[in-house]
Amino acid sequence: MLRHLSSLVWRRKASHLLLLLEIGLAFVLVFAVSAMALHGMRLYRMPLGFEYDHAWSVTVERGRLARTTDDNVLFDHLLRAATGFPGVRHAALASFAPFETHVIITDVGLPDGSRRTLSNLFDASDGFHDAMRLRMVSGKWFSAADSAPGIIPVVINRRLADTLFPGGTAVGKQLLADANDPSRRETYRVAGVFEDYRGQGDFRAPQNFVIRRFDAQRPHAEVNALVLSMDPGTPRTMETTLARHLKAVVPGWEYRIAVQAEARKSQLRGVVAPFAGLAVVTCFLLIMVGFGLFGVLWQNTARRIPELGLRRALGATKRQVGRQIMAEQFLLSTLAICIALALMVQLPLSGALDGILDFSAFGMAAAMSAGAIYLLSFLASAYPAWHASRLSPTDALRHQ
Amino acid sequence: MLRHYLLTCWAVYRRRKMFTAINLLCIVLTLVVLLVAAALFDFMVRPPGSGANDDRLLQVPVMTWIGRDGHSRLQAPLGYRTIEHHLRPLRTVERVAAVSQPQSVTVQQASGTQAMLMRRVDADYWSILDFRLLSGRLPDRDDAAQGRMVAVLSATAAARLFPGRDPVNRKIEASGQTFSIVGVVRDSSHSHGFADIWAPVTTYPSTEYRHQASGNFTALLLVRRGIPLSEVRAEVEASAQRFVFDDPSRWERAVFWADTQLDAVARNLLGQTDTPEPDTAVLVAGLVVASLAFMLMPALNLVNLNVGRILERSVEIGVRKSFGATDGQLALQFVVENILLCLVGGAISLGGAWLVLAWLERSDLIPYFTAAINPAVFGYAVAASSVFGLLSGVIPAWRMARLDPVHALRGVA
Repeated sequence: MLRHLSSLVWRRKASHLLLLLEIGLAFVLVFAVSAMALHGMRLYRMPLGFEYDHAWSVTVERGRLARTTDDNVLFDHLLRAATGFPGVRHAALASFAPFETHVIITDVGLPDGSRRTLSNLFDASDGFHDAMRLRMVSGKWFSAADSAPGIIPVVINRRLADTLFPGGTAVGKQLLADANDPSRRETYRVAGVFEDYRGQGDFRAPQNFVIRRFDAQRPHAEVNALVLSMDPGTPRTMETTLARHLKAVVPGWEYRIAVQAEARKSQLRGVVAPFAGLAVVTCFLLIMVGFGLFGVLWQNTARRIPELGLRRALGATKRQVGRQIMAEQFLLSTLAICIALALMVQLPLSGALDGILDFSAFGMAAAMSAGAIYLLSFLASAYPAWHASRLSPTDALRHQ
Repeated sequence: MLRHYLLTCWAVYRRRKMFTAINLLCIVLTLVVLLVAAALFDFMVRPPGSGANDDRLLQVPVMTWIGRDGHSRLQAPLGYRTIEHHLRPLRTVERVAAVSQPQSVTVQQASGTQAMLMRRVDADYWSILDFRLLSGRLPDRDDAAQGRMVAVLSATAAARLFPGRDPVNRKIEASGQTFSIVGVVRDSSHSHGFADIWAPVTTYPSTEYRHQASGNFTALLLVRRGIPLSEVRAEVEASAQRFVFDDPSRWERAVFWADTQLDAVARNLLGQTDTPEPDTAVLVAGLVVASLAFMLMPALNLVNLNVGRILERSVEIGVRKSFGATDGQLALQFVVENILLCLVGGAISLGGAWLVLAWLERSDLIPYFTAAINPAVFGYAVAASSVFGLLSGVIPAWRMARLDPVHALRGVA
């Protein structure tokens, strides 16, 4: 039966070629969208590593870029002012507020120059892990006790610790950053390892992280924000009071206060909105393909009325005729999907989209998009098949 | 003859109404997406709100510092000092405005706080961009010179802060400062215009901004009448070469250029931040290719549908061929029929795109967004429909023309 159907499909290969191309393209499109959706979902489900409930952040806008060491002293004053503010449980300075997408990237490795890898670089003050409620894996968060001349105390995340010291302990070890650039080379000493800090938000893949201890006297410290964990129930009206309070300390700067949970919400909206647009356009295209398939099948069955009538006259049941139409369409879809898959399996094989599309994600996305194409084929062929099966053999044979 | 073609076309499309409807639906869905994209691009490139000055308006949005070590680069909006020293004295420009990027400020009211966007602008800003004053007045040079704490609200912001009341002469407290409202303007959707609150640049709490080389300002240049833009660009570029650094041991030179809106968009989208003139041609070509690629699948879909429809007309084709119609004539006839259908689809899509844009405007996804179907977008719609008709008509037409008249006459393809 399958061989017979295949030969029927093969006979009309010229007119099926364009149809194959269309189904194949539709499959690739759905595949791309579902792979993106799956990747986003996977990242969204991963823990952020910090807690954003009852937490605020203050981004300081200095209105210029050039930084002086005086700035860091002023930031220190700000930190003190914020710590004493009513409702604030913990306050800390940070390079960037959470849910903002700025990054500083550096390369770190062992002091002998081996195992060099890229990592996020961040400056934070001593209370950062309390304010953000980070989870420590081993060692302790840095403190004044860790400071030593020429060596900057740091904490690193578990991912980086596993990369640099596989199987061993990272606490107490030294690291070398920017080994190639003598003017920026720095030596770190690991005070502790924390689980993770995905401060750039839910849709960023986990990355390596080094957090340097903020020291107002160190020239290259780069802080721009305050993070605060608040007493639950602190009213929003306190924001203005806080801004005024900070303005009294350093009047020339602007203070942008955000509730972290809301910053997260607006970031999610910003990521989801363009994707929703893409998904809507894809749905449009799929609907279009569905209608196109329907039209083509309708025309095909209309032209094959004599053939189908003959089958009925030779004893095929209504159901068998209907099934033939649907089976031919499924065969065609399967062929298109197989060709498309054979081309696309190169993506995980070659590792071109490493970290985004591995074999399990590939399989999931392929299953989802194949399901969508089969559903579409079913919907498009159901009515033409039903219509064909309703023909009476006598009418069909006389039809010209 | 043309009338005859049109009548045939009308008869063919009426014969199988369901297929005509499916064809039209596919065309409309495709063109609506393309038209909305075109309207968004048009909004970016030619934002409403620059009024009559549109063709002599240039902007300097950003400057790049290049380090002595060969690889350091620093990119930032201009500081007020740079605008004062390097752009205001230019001889080819009539007026220069400094406008800060919109900053989020909290406005304190008895009923609670509201987050709003605020810009600090100088007096020339109001005469370069085209603002429609709804009530009160605009800040003048005197306000700026005296550093008076005055502010202008957009109509939307006025409705949010003072629902049902006239805001003029009332006070607001924004970012810890008290401003008195002097005027209300209609919402602006220009990329350097939109904001909730505008205040004079002299209302900054400290005068530090005056001494900053890099800051958060964009310069808008109104070119003198009759002077070609290229001359202004050259003068701005030359002016950048005289830039003096606070820290000359670290930085070698600074570059900035005067861009049209299209240049600025191309710079952003292509990431060409340190070339004197961004490749706007590459940007436009890229967008045309993207439109064509997007049309590919819908076009295939129409091709498949049309191939079937043509075979239904085999008798007509057979008769015409046996009376001497050439392949070319038949193919042309079919392509023209298809393009006509696409143009009808294009007309419907204009309505659909208008609905989508109206929804986008109301949804507030883009602040102060107002896009309209203007002549440029209309022209794009006509072009896109024709190209789409051509793309989806050529293969079926070719197959139609190649039908063997003997088989065609018998109705067996």
